[in-house]
Amino acid sequence: MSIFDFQGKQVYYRTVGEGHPLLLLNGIMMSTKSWLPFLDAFQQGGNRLILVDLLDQGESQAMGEDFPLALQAEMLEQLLQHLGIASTAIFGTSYGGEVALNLAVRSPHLVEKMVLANTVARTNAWLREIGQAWNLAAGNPEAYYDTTIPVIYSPDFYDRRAEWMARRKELLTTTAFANPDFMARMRRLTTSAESHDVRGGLARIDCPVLLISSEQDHITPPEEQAYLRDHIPGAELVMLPRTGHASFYERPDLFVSIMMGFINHHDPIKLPG
Amino acid sequence: MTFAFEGRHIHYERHGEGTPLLLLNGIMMSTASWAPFVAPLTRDGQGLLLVDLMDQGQSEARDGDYTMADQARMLAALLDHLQLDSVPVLGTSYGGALALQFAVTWPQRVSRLLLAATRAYTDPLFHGMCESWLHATHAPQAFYTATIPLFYGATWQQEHEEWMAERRRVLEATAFANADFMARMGRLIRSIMAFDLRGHLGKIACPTLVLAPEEDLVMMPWEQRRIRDGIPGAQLLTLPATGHVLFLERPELFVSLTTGWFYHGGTVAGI
Repeated sequence: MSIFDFQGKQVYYRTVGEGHPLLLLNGIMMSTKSWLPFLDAFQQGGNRLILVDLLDQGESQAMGEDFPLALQAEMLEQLLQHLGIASTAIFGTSYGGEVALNLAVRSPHLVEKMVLANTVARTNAWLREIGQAWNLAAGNPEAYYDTTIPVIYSPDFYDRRAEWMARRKELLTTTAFANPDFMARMRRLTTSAESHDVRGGLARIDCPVLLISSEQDHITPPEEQAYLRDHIPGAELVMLPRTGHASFYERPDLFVSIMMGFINHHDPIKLPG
Repeated sequence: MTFAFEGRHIHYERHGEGTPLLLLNGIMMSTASWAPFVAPLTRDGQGLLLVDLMDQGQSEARDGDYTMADQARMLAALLDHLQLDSVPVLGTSYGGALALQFAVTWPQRVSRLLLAATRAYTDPLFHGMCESWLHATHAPQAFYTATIPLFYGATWQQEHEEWMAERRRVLEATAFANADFMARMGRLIRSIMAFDLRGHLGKIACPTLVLAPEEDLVMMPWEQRRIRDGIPGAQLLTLPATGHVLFLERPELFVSLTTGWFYHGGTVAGI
C-alpha cells in the first residue's frame, strides 16, 4: 500500500505487477481489498494493476464534508501524474464506472480503453431517491443491509447463494454497517453521486469502450447502458442475462473473460468489401 | 492442406502453435472467411485450426446427402489425422450446431466451447426457412432475398445500406449464380434439416459460453437460451443491436470475446 496526498487528504493506492496500466475503479461500497479474489485473473494479461481507495473509501482518509463525484476524477488525474502514467486502460463498475466516465470526459487523453459495468451517464431523479433511501437507513445496520444489498443481486443468485448471502449479512451488519465512520463515508459517497451527469461530454470520449449490462440490474438498468452506447462514439454493449447489479460477483469467471478479452485483445479489424 | 475422408479431400489450415482452437464455419462460409481474423486470433502465438466442412470452400463436393452426424465424424477423423485428442472449439451458426453434435458424440474431445448464434434443434419454424431456401437455390435473386436479409441485423443493415447493395450485386453475380456452389448449398441446408439434439446436451461437460445476438432472425435468442438451459453450467451473453453474422458486424468485439473466453478463462476463487 502507498499513500498519495490529494488536497490535504491521504489517498491509499496499490500497484500490482508490471506491464500496461489497468486502473480498477471500485463500486461505492468496495475498496482495493474487494479485488483480492480477482488479482490473479486480472494479471494474466500482463497488466500493471492500479488499485485505489477512492475518496472516502477503504483506507483513504475520510473527507469530513460532502463533495461532488467529479472530485474523484480530479484525484485520479493527480494520482496518474504522481505515478508517471500518461494514459491507462480502466475497468470501472457502478460508482467506479461513473468516476471513469467523469475522468474520460474531463481528460480523454488519459484514457486508452474502458470497460464499464453497470454504469449510468447521470444520476436521475429515480436513482437520487434510491440513494436518499440508503442514507435514511444509515444508522440502523439491518435496515441499511435490507435497503441496499438484496436489490443489487439477481433473485436467482440470492437464492442459490443463500448461505453466502447470510454470512455476508451477518458480517456487514456487525462490522461496516455498524461502524459510524464507515456509514458517514457511505452517506457522503452516496450524496456525491447525486451530482453525476456527464451526458454533455460523452461525445468527447474517443477510446474503445465496452459497456456491460445486467438484465436484472434494478439500480443501473440496461436502458442506462444503452444510452451510453448510443452517445459514446463506437461504444460496444453486451448484456448478462439472469444477472443483477453486482455482475462481477455473480459471474466472476465470465466477467474476467469479457473484461480481459476487451482490455488485451481489441484491435481494429478491416473486413474486405 | 488436405486429408481424405470417405474418399474425398477435406481442406484445412493450421496457424500458430500449440493445441489449436478449432473454428467451425457458418453454412455459407469457408476457411477464407476467417482470413481477417487469423492475425488477431494468433497474435500471442495461439494455434488455430480452420477447416472447410464437407461441401464448403476448397473441400471436395459430395454427390449425395449427409447429416450433421456425418460432418461430426469427419471432424473426429481430422483430429485423429492431426493426432489431437481434444481441442477448444468455436462454432458459429451451422458450425455451432456441428460443434454441439461433435461435443455430444465425443464430449471428451472438446475442452472448451464458444457457440455463436447457433441452434441445437431444427424446429418446424427453421425447417420451413430451410425449405424456402431450397426452393430458391435455382434463382440467385430469390436465394439472396430468402437468406441474406435475415443474416444481418436490422440495425446494422440500416447503417450499411450501400455495403449491402454491393454485397447483393456480387453474390447474385457469382456464388449464387454458380450451379456447383448452389448444389453444395442445397446439400448443406438439407444436412441440418433433421437435426435434433434436445435431450442430449447434458452430455456436454466442458465450460460453455453461448453468444446470443438480439436481432438474430435465423438462430433466435430463444434458441440460445435452449442451449444454455441444456448444457450444465453453460453461460449466456446477449449482444444487443446485433444480428446473426455477429463476427462480421462486430469483428473487434468478436475477437475480444473469443480470446477472453479461451485465453483468459481463469477461475476466480473465494467468491
